[in-house]
Amino acid sequence: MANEPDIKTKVLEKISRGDIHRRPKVYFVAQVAAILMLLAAAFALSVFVMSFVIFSVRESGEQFLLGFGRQGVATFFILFPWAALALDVLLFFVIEQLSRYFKFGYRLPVGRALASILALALISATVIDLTPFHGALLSRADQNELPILGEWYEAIHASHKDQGVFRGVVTSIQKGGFTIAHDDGDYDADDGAWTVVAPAGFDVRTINVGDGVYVAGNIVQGAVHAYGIQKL
Amino acid sequence: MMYPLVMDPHQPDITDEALVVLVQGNNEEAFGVIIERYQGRLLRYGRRFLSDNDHIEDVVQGVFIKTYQNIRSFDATRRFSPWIYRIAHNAFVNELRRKHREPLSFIDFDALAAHPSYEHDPAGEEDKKMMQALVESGLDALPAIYKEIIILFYIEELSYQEIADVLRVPLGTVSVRLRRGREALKKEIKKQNPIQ
Repeated sequence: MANEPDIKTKVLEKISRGDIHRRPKVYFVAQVAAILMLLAAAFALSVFVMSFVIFSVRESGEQFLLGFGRQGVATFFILFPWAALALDVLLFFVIEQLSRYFKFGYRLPVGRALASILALALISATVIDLTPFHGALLSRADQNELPILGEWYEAIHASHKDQGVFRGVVTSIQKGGFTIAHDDGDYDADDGAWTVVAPAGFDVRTINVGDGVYVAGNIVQGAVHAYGIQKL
Repeated sequence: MMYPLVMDPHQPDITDEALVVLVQGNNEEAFGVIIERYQGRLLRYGRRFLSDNDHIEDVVQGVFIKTYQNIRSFDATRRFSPWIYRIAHNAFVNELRRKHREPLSFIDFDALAAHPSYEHDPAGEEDKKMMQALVESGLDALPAIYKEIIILFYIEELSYQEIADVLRVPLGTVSVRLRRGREALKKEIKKQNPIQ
């Protein structure tokens, strides 16, 4: 080792001069605690977003589109909250990267780690969806008492006129159709009244004034020619 | 395992982990012994991994400084060798990035899926000796991802588990990356000596 540079002398000199110090144990404990907290926060956020996606699809009535034929399925994919799902996928990658700091993280193949995070988030989100958590936030949003995520929640009950998707309460019944209105008291874009022409074979007698309905159709001369109707 | 804090760091049979406990207890002489033990190995690892790098001594000196700064985070119930190799790995990868010589992929495709792992080299000891000889000639042409794993296994003689801890990848990834590295090295040597 005689030809090797004298790294030992240089390093020990730096130590004795006080140029380098051992970091205290508390530094490392704080580092691990910070990463664990970030990990927990990222996971909690991903569960929140995923449970919101589940709640929003269910509460908005978009799930019914899947039973409205090919056009309904296409509209379902257009209206699906992709932005929230993309945020969730991003969070999964953040969680996977943070977990690599620990043995339990880097010992799992990335694919399996991501699948585990997805499964865990999905189970937790389903459990949250069973609680009144999102329902309470939706009520607050409807009363304009949810400043940060209010727009997300208000969009759940909104009609999507461009896609021919409407939801509201039946105000009158006519031959071969009915009229619906939506008014949640906030005078915004989701409020309005629409005439609905029922699809062939649909028995209008199953609908009563006061019923909540979810309607998907094509607008022809101002009326919604429905290809799918679901009582809420 | 508990280590007494009054051991002589120059005892020949003293373990690395016992030396670390002494350093954690303010024994700087013990850190000198650690440097003596690892200086040659880390210089060899760095020279092969970074090849034509003029500042390898400075990089290795940086590795020892980082080791000293972080010594209190080391858990003496574990093996010290993979821990210091991990610090060296990070320093060498940073050096590669700094010099922009090797594009380092953000996505590690070998770590995406689960691969079967072999605790022992399936090619056997004979192949290991042959590979140790081959490493000298074809290593520089290999991508960093394969070059490093070949150095750690064939030159530094770390186990699969130790390599997995150094590189922070699953055990199966070590296995598959080593196999691919071995094949790439053999191909490279064939290219260099087409007659053989």
